[in-house]
Amino acid sequence: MKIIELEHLSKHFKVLERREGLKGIVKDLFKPRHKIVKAVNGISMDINQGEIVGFVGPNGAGKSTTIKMLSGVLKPTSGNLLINNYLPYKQRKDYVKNIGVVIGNRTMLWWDLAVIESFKLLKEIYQISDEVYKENLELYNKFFNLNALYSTPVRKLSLGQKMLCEIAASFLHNPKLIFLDEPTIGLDVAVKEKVRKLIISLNKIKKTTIILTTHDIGDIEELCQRIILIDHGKLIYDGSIRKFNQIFGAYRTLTLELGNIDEISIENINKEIDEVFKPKEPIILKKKENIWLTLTINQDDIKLMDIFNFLMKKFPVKDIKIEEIELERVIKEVYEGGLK
Amino acid sequence: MLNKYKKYFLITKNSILTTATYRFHFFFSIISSILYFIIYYFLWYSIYNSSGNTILNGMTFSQVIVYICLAYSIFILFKTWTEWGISRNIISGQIMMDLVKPYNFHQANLANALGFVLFNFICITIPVFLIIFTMFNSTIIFGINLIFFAISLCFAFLISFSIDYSIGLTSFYTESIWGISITKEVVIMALSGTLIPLSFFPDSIELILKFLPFAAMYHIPVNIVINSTLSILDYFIMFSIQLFWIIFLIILNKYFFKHAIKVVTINGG
Repeated sequence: MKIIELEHLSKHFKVLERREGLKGIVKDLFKPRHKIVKAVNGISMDINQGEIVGFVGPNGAGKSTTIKMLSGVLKPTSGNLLINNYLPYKQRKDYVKNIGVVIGNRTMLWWDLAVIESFKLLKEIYQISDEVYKENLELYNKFFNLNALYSTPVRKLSLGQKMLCEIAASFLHNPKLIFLDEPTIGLDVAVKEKVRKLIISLNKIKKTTIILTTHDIGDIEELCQRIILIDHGKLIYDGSIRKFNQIFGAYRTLTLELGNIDEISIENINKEIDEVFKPKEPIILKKKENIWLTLTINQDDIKLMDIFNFLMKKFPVKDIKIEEIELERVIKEVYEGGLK
Repeated sequence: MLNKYKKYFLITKNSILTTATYRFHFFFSIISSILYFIIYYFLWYSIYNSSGNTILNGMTFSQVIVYICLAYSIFILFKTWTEWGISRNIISGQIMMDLVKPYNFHQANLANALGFVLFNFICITIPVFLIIFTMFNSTIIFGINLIFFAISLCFAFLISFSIDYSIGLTSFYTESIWGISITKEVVIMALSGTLIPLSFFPDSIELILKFLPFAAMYHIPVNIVINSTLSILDYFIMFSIQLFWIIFLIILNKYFFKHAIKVVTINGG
């Protein structure tokens, strides 16, 4: 069942273009110049109930603007948007009853008060029934031992504790849809793991649809089945993470320990490989810490076993490692225009 | 029905708890208020002394002191920082979290301001009021007018809040409201009777000022307490003026918010 339907969604901002220098400042005061910035430019997508969708893109790609439109706070410049049978912008007050929003560096909780006071207030704001409220608190306590944090004022929580409480607060009213905007930003590995566990288990137990914005590849790999990649306000990729890996992930990196190597031997190796395999795209060789040599190959081009055997025969290989190219690097490549 | 408003009661409660978190805030508010008042006492003292008259513009020295004391007590009472709160949230982008909660933005802000007022009333206004009155040996006549005073004070709060809220809404356009809020404070101080009793203005200006919302906030409640010659008609006129401004400002703010929400840009990513 579709929960989000987007069609050619756009958001354009009118931005003041500042002039330079003192003279410019005076001119800006009386005769401001504006330019149009197309933050989101015609995005279409459908998202089904219960999915966890990774929403990725470089900084300034338009992710947050899209989230703001999806949560009913910003009015789209053009395009259609239907979520959970509501027009978020027009029916904001009713619509937001069924969504939850967590933004990495904002807070849903009352800064100066104990966590539980915020929870009590959220219970009234969302008109959560006593049973659901109790059930959720028990659930949080069972999995994450949140009871220990309830009496602490929010401003005294650590970043990780705060994030756990934020996510718990956003799930309190059993929303159908949750927007998580960089929920693991600034957290250490252990807490990240906890936050991810919380997200996954809540998704499983409550069948909540989750839209996750993040720059952390770990988040995407562990949480999402589907990713949506946007850049310059446009959709670049929308599909399963497996397919994404297939398209971009035919690359493997071989790391060889060869003993001492110098620039000339690297060149020789490169020449020999070129002669034997005649690859369509050049193979990248890199020296690492004097004894290690890494080379990245495309499996569609060269069979991994062939080059492996070739290298073993030709060179005194002491050790060898094979790695898949990381999603991070793929995305970076796409960011930098590798897809075009 | 009551259930629907329970969230706003809780917002008020949380706002009281929040204010109470910072104890030094009210200690210093009390001290600064008393200092402020001492300055004004001696200013008026020298004005009366140098004029040589015991009655200026129909008011005796002790009446002026009571007037200023009451008006200033109400002035601190109504300091709810509403516009600063909204503007701060706009600048930091925290406003988004207000807008994704299913409550009425206006009512939530009102509930929040009410929490401030209740806290101010108990912890700042009453102590300041008592200290000033015992220090300067002033007297006011307590009677039935006290009930009218309480009613007009509630109305005055709604006007004060509405003005603060509409200035808060301008931050949807301008982000910072520093200049506009300072201007508001000066205008209110000058035109409402907090600084100078309205009867010290020229007659024609006094008449105009009496019908403006600023006077409705301070002059009317204070006048009810210190003026023992008010008729039923006077009460009727004063309450009508207050109610008119409440209704006018609430309707204005409703349309203002509708427009402001369309242009708001949420800062931060």
